[in-house]
Amino acid sequence: MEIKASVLVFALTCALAPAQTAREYRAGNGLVRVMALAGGDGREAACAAAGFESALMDSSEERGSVPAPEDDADALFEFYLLDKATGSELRFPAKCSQVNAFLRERASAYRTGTLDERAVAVVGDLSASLRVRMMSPGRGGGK
Amino acid sequence: MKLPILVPALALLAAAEVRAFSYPALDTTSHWSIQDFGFTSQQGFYVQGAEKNVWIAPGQAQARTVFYNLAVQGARKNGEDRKLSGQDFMGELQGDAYIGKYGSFKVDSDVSLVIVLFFMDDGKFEATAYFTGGGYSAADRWDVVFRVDYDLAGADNNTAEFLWNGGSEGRAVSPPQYPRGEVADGILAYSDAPGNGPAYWAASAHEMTVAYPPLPRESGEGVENAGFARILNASNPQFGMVLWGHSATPIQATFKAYTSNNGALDPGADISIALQSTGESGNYPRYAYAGRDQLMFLKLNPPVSGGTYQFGGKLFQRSGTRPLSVGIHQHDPARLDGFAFNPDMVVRYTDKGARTFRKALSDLIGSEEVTVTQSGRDGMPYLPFDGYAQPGQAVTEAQLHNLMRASRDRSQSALENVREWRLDLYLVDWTLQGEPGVWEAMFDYGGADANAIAREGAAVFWPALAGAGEDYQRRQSVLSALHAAGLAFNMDPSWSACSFAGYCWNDASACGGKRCGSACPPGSQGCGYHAYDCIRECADGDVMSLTDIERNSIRFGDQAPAGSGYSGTDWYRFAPEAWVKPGRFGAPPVSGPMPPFIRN
Repeated sequence: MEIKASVLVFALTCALAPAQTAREYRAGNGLVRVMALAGGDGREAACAAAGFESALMDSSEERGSVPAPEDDADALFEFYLLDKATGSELRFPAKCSQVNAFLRERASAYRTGTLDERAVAVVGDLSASLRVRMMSPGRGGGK
Repeated sequence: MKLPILVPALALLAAAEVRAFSYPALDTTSHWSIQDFGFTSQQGFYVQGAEKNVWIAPGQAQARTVFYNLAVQGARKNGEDRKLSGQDFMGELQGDAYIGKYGSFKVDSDVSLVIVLFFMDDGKFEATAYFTGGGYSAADRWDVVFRVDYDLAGADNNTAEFLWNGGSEGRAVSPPQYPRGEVADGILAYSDAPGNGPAYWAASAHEMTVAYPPLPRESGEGVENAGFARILNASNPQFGMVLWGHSATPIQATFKAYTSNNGALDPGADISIALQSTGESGNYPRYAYAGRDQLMFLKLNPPVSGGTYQFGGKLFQRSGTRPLSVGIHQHDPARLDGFAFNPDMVVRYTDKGARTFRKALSDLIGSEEVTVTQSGRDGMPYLPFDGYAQPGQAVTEAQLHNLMRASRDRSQSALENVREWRLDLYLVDWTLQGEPGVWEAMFDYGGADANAIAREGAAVFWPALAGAGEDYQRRQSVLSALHAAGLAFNMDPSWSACSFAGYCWNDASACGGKRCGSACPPGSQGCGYHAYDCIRECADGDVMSLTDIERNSIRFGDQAPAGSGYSGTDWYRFAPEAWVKPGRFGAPPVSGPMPPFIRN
């Protein structure tokens, strides 16, 4: 049975304690840690439900129809991505609805590989999509 | 506040006016720009120079400052300061419709505070914070303190308006001002219990702290979200932001004059310091009209259900006017003799040209920024009968209020529409309980206003308009809808071109079967707010006048009535929003002479 990356990510919220819990995935030189944070608002349940809903779908095309909450009060994910070969680290936040939007646009991109491989691929691609940039200690920058 | 209007027919032609004025408007197609962000031991985690573009002409954008500086200097553990002492990580990202700045910072032994700031292209912004680390314990009380130094559109002088109500400290629509004893502690607590009276915008002249419980965005089922404060550019109040809380995060907002800030992580309000200039008039909420360089501290208390600490808000940029969005809800046209309300139906020709519902509102607003949605279009269904009253029967004001709450658009995007004023009008196949002769009613106040949110809706009673022919009934429904809208804008009929003519009731021995006076006698039949030829009728009434449609200009008054400093159109365009605006932050209806106000 194929398990979609979106299932991987969204199922986390459902399985975790209300406050925050992390799970790790490893593939090749990549290590990913995903922490889900409850927003204290009932709407994050909608996001988790969307994840469950997508888990029940068996074709990636249908994933595009998974509704995502549009409000700004949904659950927050904190992602950590480590490239063990280079030692480079990325940490970044994303809201459930933002992750949903990312996955909807790539409905068929993560259909192969193990759960861990797909987790690493999803988080890596998400960080690239968001042009995540880490700042050195004490440094910031404008945009 | 109910009034029927009367009679005949006539027609004139004139050229229609066209006044389009919709710039500037918030640019929702581009990201916010942030001049700088980072972390220093002095400033904490900060963003500097947060700006958003507005369109000032087609294709021409201009950046406007929102936050001169937005920072988290630290947290408080069990009431003691814990400044950010070191950086774990810090970064930025850029999505399709948002940018983010974030970081994690040490605040205690093995405790870090993670702060995430999102700035959305549509003008929203939100801050989320949470604690991590083995040293963190929920048994400790951790507060997160944001310092918000706002400079809206680059102006040092801004005005702040806060939400509280009569159940809060002070218990008055005009909050007590220092040195009165009620505000000796400088703290007002928002209370949203229905029994505590309606919530409204007000403003304090002095530094103060306002404490808010967790406020769900749809709290009170109002026409707009549960914003808790509004900050405006003092000289250009069309640009500003609404701040809103979160269903789980209690917030204490302390507003301070910039020059009295001592740099403390969590300063208190100094109630002897003037924050801004305010005005007041009896029974109307105090309002701010001139600003001072201000900043605000938001202390986020632990979320009641755990989870993250949050607050947010949204910018608005209006043109020089107050844009309006009207929802016209009606029963199935089959129940209204085939009539589907048409906002562009010409109801009369006057020397001002063809007069329509939309045109009258555009004239009132001073621009064409009137959005009309209506049943049978725009995905808006026709009104139900079940659960309220049967066709043609009487309906109570409370039932109309419930119908309004059940039928209006409460989508997230609608709740977050902080630019337009919103109003719902109901054209119903019912009469008003106890007053079958009433043509329109502003039902959303007093005891029927179950959510204690002011003047969100008004109704027109189709059966009561019958008797003078189909054409008359249709055109009169438009005038009645305009009059009902005026009532919802807190406009009193006595401010119209025709002075108050009094109440009339059935009396076969009197003029035309009617007798009139300044008040309805106890037990009188069919008594309502009327003007009859035998009492006094003016030749060219405006929308708020009592004349029939054939003698009505189908315009809101643009001349100051006797004893008033401003006209009805001035009232809509320039009076304090708390007095005029329908919805959560408006005052309940106050009748009588137009109160004086300082135009802003």
